[in-house]
Amino acid sequence: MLTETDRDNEFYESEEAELETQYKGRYVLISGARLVGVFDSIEAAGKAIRSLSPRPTHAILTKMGQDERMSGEWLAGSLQR
Amino acid sequence: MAGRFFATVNCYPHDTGANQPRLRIRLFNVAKEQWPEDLIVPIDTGFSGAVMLPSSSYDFFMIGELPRKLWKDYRTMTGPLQMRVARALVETEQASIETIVETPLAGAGKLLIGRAILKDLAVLLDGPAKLSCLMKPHDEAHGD
Repeated sequence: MLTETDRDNEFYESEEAELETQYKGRYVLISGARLVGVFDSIEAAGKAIRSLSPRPTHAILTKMGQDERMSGEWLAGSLQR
Repeated sequence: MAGRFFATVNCYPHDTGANQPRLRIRLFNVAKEQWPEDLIVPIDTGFSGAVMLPSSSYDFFMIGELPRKLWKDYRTMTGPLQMRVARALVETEQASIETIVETPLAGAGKLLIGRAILKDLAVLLDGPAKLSCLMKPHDEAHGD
Protein backbone atom coordinates (compact mmCIF):
# COMPACT_ATOMS: atom_id res chain seq x y z
CA MET A 1 0.00 0.00 0.00
CA LEU A 2 1.36 3.42 -0.97
CA THR A 3 1.98 5.99 1.72
CA GLU A 4 1.56 9.77 1.36
CA THR A 5 5.32 9.94 1.00
CA ASP A 6 5.23 7.42 -1.85
CA ARG A 7 2.42 9.22 -3.68
CA ASP A 8 4.02 12.66 -3.37
CA ASN A 9 7.34 11.31 -4.59
CA GLU A 10 5.75 9.48 -7.50
CA PHE A 11 4.12 12.75 -8.56
CA TYR A 12 7.38 14.67 -8.16
CA GLU A 13 9.37 12.16 -10.18
CA SER A 14 6.81 12.08 -12.98
CA GLU A 15 6.71 15.88 -13.21
CA GLU A 16 10.29 16.71 -12.30
CA ALA A 17 11.51 17.67 -15.78
CA GLU A 18 8.56 19.98 -16.36
CA LEU A 19 8.85 21.54 -12.89
CA GLU A 20 12.54 22.14 -13.44
CA THR A 21 11.90 23.84 -16.76
CA GLN A 22 9.09 26.05 -15.52
CA TYR A 23 10.08 26.86 -11.96
CA LYS A 24 13.84 26.78 -11.73
CA GLY A 25 15.05 28.63 -8.62
CA ARG A 26 11.61 28.68 -6.99
CA TYR A 27 10.12 26.61 -4.16
CA VAL A 28 7.72 23.92 -5.34
CA LEU A 29 5.21 22.52 -2.84
CA ILE A 30 3.67 19.11 -3.50
CA SER A 31 1.10 17.43 -1.27
CA GLY A 32 -1.72 14.97 -1.86
CA ALA A 33 0.08 13.91 -5.04
CA ARG A 34 -0.55 17.30 -6.65
CA LEU A 35 1.23 20.61 -7.12
CA VAL A 36 -0.04 22.87 -4.34
CA GLY A 37 1.87 25.96 -5.37
CA VAL A 38 5.12 27.62 -6.40
CA PHE A 39 6.73 30.22 -4.16
CA ASP A 40 9.64 32.63 -4.11
CA SER A 41 10.41 32.16 -0.43
CA ILE A 42 10.31 29.41 2.14
CA GLU A 43 8.16 31.68 4.33
CA ALA A 44 5.50 31.92 1.64
CA ALA A 45 5.54 28.15 1.21
CA GLY A 46 5.19 27.70 4.97
CA LYS A 47 2.18 29.99 4.99
CA ALA A 48 0.61 27.93 2.21
CA ILE A 49 1.15 24.74 4.20
CA ARG A 50 -0.56 26.25 7.23
CA SER A 51 -3.57 27.13 5.10
CA LEU A 52 -4.10 23.59 3.79
CA SER A 53 -7.24 21.87 5.02
CA PRO A 54 -7.31 19.09 5.94
CA ARG A 55 -3.78 19.44 7.17
CA PRO A 56 -1.51 16.93 5.36
CA THR A 57 0.97 14.80 7.26
CA HIS A 58 3.42 14.90 4.36
CA ALA A 59 4.52 17.42 1.76
CA ILE A 60 7.50 17.89 -0.50
CA LEU A 61 9.11 21.33 -0.53
CA THR A 62 12.06 21.71 -2.84
CA LYS A 63 13.86 24.56 -4.57
CA MET A 64 13.96 23.48 -8.17
CA GLY A 65 17.41 23.23 -9.68
CA GLN A 66 19.15 24.16 -6.43
CA ASP A 67 18.45 21.38 -3.95
CA GLU A 68 20.77 18.51 -4.68
CA ARG A 69 21.55 15.09 -3.33
CA MET A 70 24.20 15.32 -0.63
CA SER A 71 26.52 12.91 1.06
CA GLY A 72 28.13 13.22 4.46
CA GLU A 73 30.15 11.41 7.04
CA TRP A 74 29.25 10.16 10.46
CA LEU A 75 32.36 8.94 12.16
CA ALA A 76 32.62 7.62 15.67
CA GLY A 77 31.23 9.85 18.43
CA SER A 78 27.57 9.15 18.97
CA LEU A 79 27.48 6.35 16.43
CA GLN A 80 28.33 3.68 18.97
CA ARG A 81 26.18 4.88 21.84
CA MET B 1 47.70 36.47 15.45
CA ALA B 2 45.27 38.82 17.16
CA GLY B 3 43.26 37.52 20.10
CA ARG B 4 39.51 37.57 20.14
CA PHE B 5 37.11 38.15 23.01
CA PHE B 6 33.80 36.42 23.50
CA ALA B 7 30.99 36.80 26.00
CA THR B 8 29.02 33.85 27.32
CA VAL B 9 25.40 33.68 26.20
CA ASN B 10 24.56 30.58 28.21
CA CYS B 11 26.12 27.31 29.36
CA TYR B 12 24.66 23.82 29.42
CA PRO B 13 25.84 20.85 31.49
CA HIS B 14 27.27 17.81 29.74
CA ASP B 15 25.22 14.66 29.64
CA THR B 16 25.77 12.98 33.00
CA GLY B 17 26.05 9.47 31.60
CA ALA B 18 28.25 9.81 28.53
CA ASN B 19 29.75 13.19 29.55
CA GLN B 20 28.82 14.44 26.09
CA PRO B 21 28.69 18.20 25.39
CA ARG B 22 25.24 19.57 24.66
CA LEU B 23 23.47 22.75 23.51
CA ARG B 24 19.91 23.96 23.88
CA ILE B 25 18.01 24.45 20.62
CA ARG B 26 14.48 25.21 19.54
CA LEU B 27 13.15 23.55 16.39
CA PHE B 28 10.48 24.67 13.92
CA ASN B 29 9.06 22.92 10.87
CA VAL B 30 8.60 24.80 7.58
CA ALA B 31 5.12 25.91 8.64
CA LYS B 32 6.86 27.76 11.52
CA GLU B 33 5.26 25.46 14.05
CA GLN B 34 7.46 25.00 17.07
CA TRP B 35 8.46 21.61 18.43
CA PRO B 36 6.68 21.47 21.81
CA GLU B 37 9.77 21.84 23.95
CA ASP B 38 13.28 23.20 23.84
CA LEU B 39 15.81 20.42 23.37
CA ILE B 40 19.15 19.91 25.06
CA VAL B 41 20.95 18.20 22.21
CA PRO B 42 24.27 16.30 22.26
CA ILE B 43 27.00 17.72 20.03
CA ASP B 44 28.72 15.23 17.72
CA THR B 45 31.65 16.71 15.82
CA GLY B 46 32.00 13.44 13.89
CA PHE B 47 28.60 14.04 12.26
CA SER B 48 28.87 16.32 9.23
CA GLY B 49 25.12 16.93 9.04
CA ALA B 50 22.95 19.46 10.87
CA VAL B 51 20.33 17.88 13.14
CA MET B 52 19.58 14.19 13.50
CA LEU B 53 16.29 13.25 15.09
CA PRO B 54 14.71 10.07 16.41
CA SER B 55 12.29 8.79 13.78
CA SER B 56 9.34 9.43 16.11
CA SER B 57 10.20 13.15 16.25
CA TYR B 58 10.91 13.43 12.53
CA ASP B 59 7.18 13.06 11.68
CA PHE B 60 6.63 16.65 12.83
CA PHE B 61 8.89 17.90 10.02
CA MET B 62 7.53 15.75 7.17
CA ILE B 63 5.40 18.61 5.83
CA GLY B 64 8.59 20.05 4.37
CA GLU B 65 10.45 17.01 3.17
CA LEU B 66 12.89 16.97 0.27
CA PRO B 67 12.15 14.63 -2.65
CA ARG B 68 13.25 11.07 -1.95
CA LYS B 69 15.85 11.17 -4.71
CA LEU B 70 17.61 13.99 -2.82
CA TRP B 71 17.71 12.28 0.57
CA LYS B 72 21.17 12.25 2.05
CA ASP B 73 23.50 9.34 2.65
CA TYR B 74 26.38 9.05 5.09
CA ARG B 75 29.58 7.13 5.23
CA THR B 76 29.87 5.50 8.64
CA MET B 77 32.31 3.09 10.19
CA THR B 78 29.72 0.34 9.76
CA GLY B 79 28.83 1.13 6.15
CA PRO B 80 26.53 3.53 4.29
CA LEU B 81 23.48 4.98 6.04
CA GLN B 82 20.52 6.38 4.12
CA MET B 83 18.57 9.28 5.67
CA ARG B 84 15.23 11.01 5.15
CA VAL B 85 15.65 14.78 4.96
CA ALA B 86 13.28 17.67 5.72
CA ARG B 87 13.62 21.43 5.92
CA ALA B 88 13.55 23.04 9.35
CA LEU B 89 14.56 26.08 11.33
CA VAL B 90 16.90 25.84 14.31
CA GLU B 91 17.03 28.60 16.89
CA THR B 92 19.60 29.00 19.60
CA GLU B 93 19.90 31.89 22.02
CA GLN B 94 22.37 33.39 19.57
CA ALA B 95 21.28 32.50 16.04
CA SER B 96 18.43 31.42 13.80
CA ILE B 97 19.53 28.88 11.20
CA GLU B 98 17.58 27.63 8.19
CA THR B 99 18.69 24.04 7.87
CA ILE B 100 17.63 20.42 7.48
CA VAL B 101 16.72 17.69 9.93
CA GLU B 102 17.34 14.04 9.21
CA THR B 103 16.49 10.59 10.48
CA PRO B 104 17.68 7.18 9.27
CA LEU B 105 15.44 5.56 6.67
CA ALA B 106 15.77 2.31 8.62
CA GLY B 107 16.26 2.36 12.36
CA ALA B 108 15.29 4.56 15.26
CA GLY B 109 17.74 7.44 14.84
CA LYS B 110 18.90 9.62 17.70
CA LEU B 111 19.01 13.23 18.76
CA LEU B 112 22.21 15.15 18.01
CA ILE B 113 23.63 18.18 16.25
CA GLY B 114 26.62 18.08 13.94
CA ARG B 115 29.07 20.29 12.15
CA ALA B 116 26.57 21.87 9.76
CA ILE B 117 25.07 23.64 12.80
CA LEU B 118 28.32 24.22 14.65
CA LYS B 119 29.75 26.15 11.69
CA ASP B 120 27.23 28.92 12.43
CA LEU B 121 27.87 29.11 16.17
CA ALA B 122 30.63 30.03 18.59
CA VAL B 123 30.81 27.30 21.20
CA LEU B 124 33.18 26.84 24.12
CA LEU B 125 33.72 23.26 25.24
CA ASP B 126 34.72 23.57 28.89
CA GLY B 127 35.70 20.00 29.64
CA PRO B 128 36.91 20.44 33.25
CA ALA B 129 33.67 22.18 34.22
CA LYS B 130 31.62 19.72 32.13
CA LEU B 131 29.90 22.63 30.39
CA SER B 132 29.25 23.66 26.79
CA CYS B 133 28.81 27.39 26.41
CA LEU B 134 27.21 29.32 23.61
CA MET B 135 29.33 32.43 22.99
CA LYS B 136 29.06 35.69 21.11
CA PRO B 137 31.85 37.96 19.89
CA HIS B 138 32.41 40.58 22.56
CA ASP B 139 34.73 43.13 21.04
CA GLU B 140 37.14 43.59 18.23
CA ALA B 141 40.45 41.82 18.44
CA HIS B 142 43.00 42.71 21.07
CA GLY B 143 46.58 41.60 21.50
CA ASP B 144 49.38 41.17 19.04
